[in-house]
Amino acid sequence: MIDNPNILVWLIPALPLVSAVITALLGSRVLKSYSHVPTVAAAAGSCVLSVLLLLGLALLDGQQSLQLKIDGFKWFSTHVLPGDAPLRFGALDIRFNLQVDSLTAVMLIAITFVGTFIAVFSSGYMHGDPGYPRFFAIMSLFLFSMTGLVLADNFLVLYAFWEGVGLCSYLLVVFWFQKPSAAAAARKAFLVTRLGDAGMILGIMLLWARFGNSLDFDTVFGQAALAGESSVLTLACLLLFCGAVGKSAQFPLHVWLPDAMEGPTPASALIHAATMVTAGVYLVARCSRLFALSPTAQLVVACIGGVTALLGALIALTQTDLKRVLAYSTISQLGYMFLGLGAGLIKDKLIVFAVAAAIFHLFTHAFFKALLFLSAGSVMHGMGHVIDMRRLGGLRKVMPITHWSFLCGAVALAGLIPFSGFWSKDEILEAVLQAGEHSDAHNTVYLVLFATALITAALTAFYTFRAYFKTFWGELRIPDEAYHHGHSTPHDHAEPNDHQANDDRQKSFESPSSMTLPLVVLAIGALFVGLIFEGATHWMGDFLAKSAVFVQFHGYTPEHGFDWLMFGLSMLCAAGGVGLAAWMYLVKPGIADTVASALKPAYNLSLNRFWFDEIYALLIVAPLTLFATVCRLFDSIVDGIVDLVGLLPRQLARGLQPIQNGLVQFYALVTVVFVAAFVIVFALWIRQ
Amino acid sequence: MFENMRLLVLMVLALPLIAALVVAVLGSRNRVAVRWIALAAVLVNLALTGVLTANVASTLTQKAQLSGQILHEQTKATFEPEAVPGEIEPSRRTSWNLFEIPIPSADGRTASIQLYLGVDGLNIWLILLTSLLMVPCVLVSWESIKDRANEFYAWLLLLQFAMLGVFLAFDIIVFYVFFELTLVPLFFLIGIWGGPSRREAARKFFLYTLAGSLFTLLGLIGLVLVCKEKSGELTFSIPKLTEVVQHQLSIQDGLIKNLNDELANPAARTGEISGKAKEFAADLGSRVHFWRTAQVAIFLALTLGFAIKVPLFPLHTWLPLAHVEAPTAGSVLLAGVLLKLGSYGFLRLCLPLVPDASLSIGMPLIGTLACIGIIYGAFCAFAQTDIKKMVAYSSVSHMGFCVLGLFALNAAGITGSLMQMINHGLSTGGLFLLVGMLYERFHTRMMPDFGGLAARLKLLSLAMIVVCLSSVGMPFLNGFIGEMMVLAGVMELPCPSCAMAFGVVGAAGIVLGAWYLFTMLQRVFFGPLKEPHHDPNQGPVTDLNFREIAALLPILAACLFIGIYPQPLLDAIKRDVAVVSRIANDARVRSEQVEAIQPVLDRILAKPAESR
Amino acid sequence: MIPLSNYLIVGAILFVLGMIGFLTRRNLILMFLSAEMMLQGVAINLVAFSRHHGNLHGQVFTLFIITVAACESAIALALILMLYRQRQSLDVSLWQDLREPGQEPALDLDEPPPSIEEKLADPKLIPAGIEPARPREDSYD
Repeated sequence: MIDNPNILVWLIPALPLVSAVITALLGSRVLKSYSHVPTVAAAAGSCVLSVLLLLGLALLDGQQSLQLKIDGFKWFSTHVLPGDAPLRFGALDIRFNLQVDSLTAVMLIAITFVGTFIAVFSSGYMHGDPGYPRFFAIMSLFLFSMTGLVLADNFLVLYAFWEGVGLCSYLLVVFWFQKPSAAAAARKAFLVTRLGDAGMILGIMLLWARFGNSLDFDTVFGQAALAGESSVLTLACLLLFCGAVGKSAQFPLHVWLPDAMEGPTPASALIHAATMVTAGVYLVARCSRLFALSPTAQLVVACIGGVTALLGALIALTQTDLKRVLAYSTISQLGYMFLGLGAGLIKDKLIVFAVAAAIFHLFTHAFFKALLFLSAGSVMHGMGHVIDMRRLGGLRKVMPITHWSFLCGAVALAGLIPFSGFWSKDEILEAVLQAGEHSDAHNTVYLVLFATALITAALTAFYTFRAYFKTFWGELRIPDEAYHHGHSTPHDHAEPNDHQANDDRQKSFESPSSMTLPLVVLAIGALFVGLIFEGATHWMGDFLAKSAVFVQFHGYTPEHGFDWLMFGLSMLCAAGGVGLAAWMYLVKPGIADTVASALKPAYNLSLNRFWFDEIYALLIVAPLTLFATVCRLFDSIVDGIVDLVGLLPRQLARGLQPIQNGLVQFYALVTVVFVAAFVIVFALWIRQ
Repeated sequence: MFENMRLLVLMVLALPLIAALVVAVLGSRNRVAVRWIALAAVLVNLALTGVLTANVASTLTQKAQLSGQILHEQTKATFEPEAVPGEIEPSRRTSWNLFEIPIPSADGRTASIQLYLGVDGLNIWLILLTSLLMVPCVLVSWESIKDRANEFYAWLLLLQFAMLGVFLAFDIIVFYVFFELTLVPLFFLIGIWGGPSRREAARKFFLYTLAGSLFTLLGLIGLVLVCKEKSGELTFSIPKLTEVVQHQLSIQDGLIKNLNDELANPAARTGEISGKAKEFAADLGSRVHFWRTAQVAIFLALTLGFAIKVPLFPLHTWLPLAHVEAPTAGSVLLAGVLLKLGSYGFLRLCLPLVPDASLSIGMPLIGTLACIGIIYGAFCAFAQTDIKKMVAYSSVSHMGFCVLGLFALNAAGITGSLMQMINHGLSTGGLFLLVGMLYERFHTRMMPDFGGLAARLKLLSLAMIVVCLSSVGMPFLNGFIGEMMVLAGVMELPCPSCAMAFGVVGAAGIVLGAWYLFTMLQRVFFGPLKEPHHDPNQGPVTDLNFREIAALLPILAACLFIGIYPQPLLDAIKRDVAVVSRIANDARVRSEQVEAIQPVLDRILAKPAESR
Repeated sequence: MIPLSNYLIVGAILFVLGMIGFLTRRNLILMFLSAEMMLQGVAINLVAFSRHHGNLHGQVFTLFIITVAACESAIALALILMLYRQRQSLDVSLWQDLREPGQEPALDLDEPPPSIEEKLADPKLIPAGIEPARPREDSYD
């Protein structure tokens, strides 16, 4: 299939696009409750193609970089005329080309594989919703945009898809648009990410203007490498990173992601956990060749990542909403990835290993975080859309499959050996430690970041298992909504549709098989992808190193062995976190409240998410709104000045009004007088 | 074939006028007949314009490919309109004189104001836009205009005639006449069929824009006279004037070269300045001084009228009022086409005819005003509760973007700006249509009165979301292309800090645009359903009907097409964009040369005074 | 031979008489006649110059003036008739409606304009020198 890969590659985004169009056009009239079929089929098709692509790339021999370039069509160009014009200004020349290298291939697998199973899950979860076709149309559109994003071979096409995934995110968050909270959350998500995007597009245009009037990755990277380190480059990198910060919900633009949980849970799983939010990581990884030229930008990336990782974990400690815990966990894990990316420069050499670690973490994270979200979705589905952990408990008995899948996700997220999260997290820690040991300038900073990352690892294990124990262990608590809501939907054919069974506390609340099957598949993935792809084989690192991004950066690769000290530390943190959670929520359930009241200020800080929303509302939103009002008032002043100018001749005319008295003879007299005066003056003038 | 195109240009221009007369004569009793005739007229006109633009576009595309050397060749760049009715002569005249002025020109012929119409890259898509937007305008007025319908459609068609005339005109006086003629129909459209304070709005709109365009007339006359003064040729043809100005300025370039050569002479190194050098210097000094003064004066005069029309920041206050009071069709045309007359004027007249002033004061002054307008308009839009007023202020913001791109004075910026004119016409036209449809249903436009309409009006909400997305520059919809090109043009300004400052403002405009539009969406279309109180006798509010869908569909289709495949549009405009950007480029080179030689000039010219 | 200046003086006298008549009389018909007299003054001038220059240009003009004056008088008298039918008076001071809004009408205190009254008969031109009989009113508005 590698013989003619072009069509194959085009099909990967095209299938979801076709499915989106079909679902949008026919969904509500023809397909109705089968609206999920095109999406699932398209996602599965894209997934198969992506796997083929990956295999094709992997099976190609040699150490040389692997990159397929697929020529597309000219999207738009301001190229004024053929032939080189002697103008000193370049043209914006955008071709719609695709490229595939190992980085893209890995991203594609994560997107389409997870996407396929989330689509299957959604067919059960969203069943009976009036917007069923709409959901799948947007879902397909998202898959199209996301695959397009990773396949793009120039900045502007990437940006276009980048905005496209943002739009899909908006549309999915606002899916239940009757909810005011959903409408507000969607707007917030869109605007906050757009804030980052504005920086990003500035960065892109800066790159275009300063580095060779091209936006193709290769040309820009090549030109930038020729130009070497400069303040313009650092600025461009930081601006690009703004986009990543917004999209990947990093501090200080992380506030939109928890709110975005208002959307349907499968959407949260796909967009706000597994794929879209990792677009920022992909962007920075793709631009590694740029960031490698700017240590400052690297440091900023690492610091933002580290701060976000810790911040997300701290906030996740006390949240009571299961999805919110997972959302903050996502923020924290994305911070981890950026930490890895930021640690990728030692002695002016790009460390392939660090970037690969970040991408690998992205890959494993996609599996286990999607799994956790889907499990949470399954809980919501069974419990009548209640997701507050204070109202849930002991669900392991009534939802066994969901319980086990959540547990799988939790051990992977907590980083317990030998599950996925361990391998990827360990690599990032190692990369940061390397940077701390060997970096010339910012040793201390990286060492501090390493410590932060370790603490975060412990916190991660703690809050994950806190959520797990609170939801699935303890005494059985099932909210009333579960009896009214969850089981009144028509798809539960497996069970008798028993509305009066309120006292039947022990009946199964498990979700239908269309939902549990994806859980099982993803659970297997979450447990073992780390071991298979990296832990046992180092395949992923080697494969990613062949990406076109790293083609010139084989300079410095630290030893790749198994670091026992690191292993010990990270296991200690993870196990400590899990143990503490078990002790606090399983062995002595009362102690959590005691601790909370003992550490009241810290607890409140975390519970209220460090008051970020309030601070932003006060410091940014309120002044802007105020400024808007001031502008409106000022506008009436501007208008008033105009009216004043209009008033001037009117007042002047008022003085002349009495002349117009309507008497014909008066008018005639005036005429005569002035004609006479004119004649006299004229006669005198002639005489001179 | 080409002869047919010439005829077609005349037909495209004349059809609205004829239809207006027919409709006006029919009388107000034949409301049904009147609107069907109007609809037929605009549809036929759209078809004719479509054929015309498609043909001319292919010619222009071929021409652009053939004349790749335009940027190299020594002859000066100027516009070359296609499909000019009447015989076009090499001296860039047509044979269709409207009014002869008994002053013989250099070539012994008398100058005359001519009916010089034509299509080139700068106006081709604006013409199509005008014809396209007329269809929704007629359709949206179908039910809402009840009294004096014949007059309404007559004015509407007359407005189309005038707008097409402005775009098609290649004679400076004809341009101005049409430019002013647009005011009259819109004055009546606002003043008769407008909202509660329509009279004030109509008066303010009319007087404000008229006052500005009188200065424009002054500038135009000044320009013609300056060209006559310097070249001895009295002409009103825009291509010819461009040529003359280019020629005159190139004489200046030649003098600079001569002077430099003379100074580089070994003889000159001794400190003695040769008589020849003095001669050159004196000539150059007077020329530089003359053109600088003349261009600045002309530029300021032209700008005042165009800036009011666009409208730029401190001169914009007529716009919200006029928009709010105008009937929907009036708003659509006002935002969609009439505002473009200002930016088109900048592009057609300011940039090619006074390039040095456009560079020296246009970029700093107009650029800054445009930037202020982008931010200020966005904030004002956010603070509004009336949806229509919000859209009106968003026009201020978006048109700022257009003008900013123009005054980046490079190919990317100008192309982007031209595209942005089309895009703004489509998306803001669409927004006004949708607001009009909302108003027709609920008789209010206040955001607090609405909520959750997406549940009730599915298609309308969908259309609104799409149009908003196009307006905020979502990729694969039209706004994106223009914004990106404008941003690219701005970022390429030679002065890095200006580039960054303008770029930041542009990017901020993109964010702010999303801010107010999405806030509006959230308030009006999402959340719990809240409908304003409306007459219960009329039954529940219904979603878009066939007529309204037909009104929206062309706009949405155009948005999508431009977003996905804009290249055909860009291909057609690139030759003339190349002309303008070459002129701007020459101006840049010239300003640098003049700056470099100024000290030398001062020294040489000061010497005789000392010796005396 | 009578010199040119004499003709011109006669013409000027006619013109000035007409002008004074136009400015001072309030009867519309008399005003019209005064205007005609001004025309005749101009016509005399033209004829005189025609003779002086020995060509017929001035004569031609005069013929035109006479023709135009004839048409004019037809129209003017018709208009005056219409005006009279509206107010039943020929007093020009009854027609001040074109003054600016808010402006008081000009009022001749010695000779206030007549009040408006139903009167269907057409006006008659009274013999010169005798004051026209017309209805009197204390005030008007």
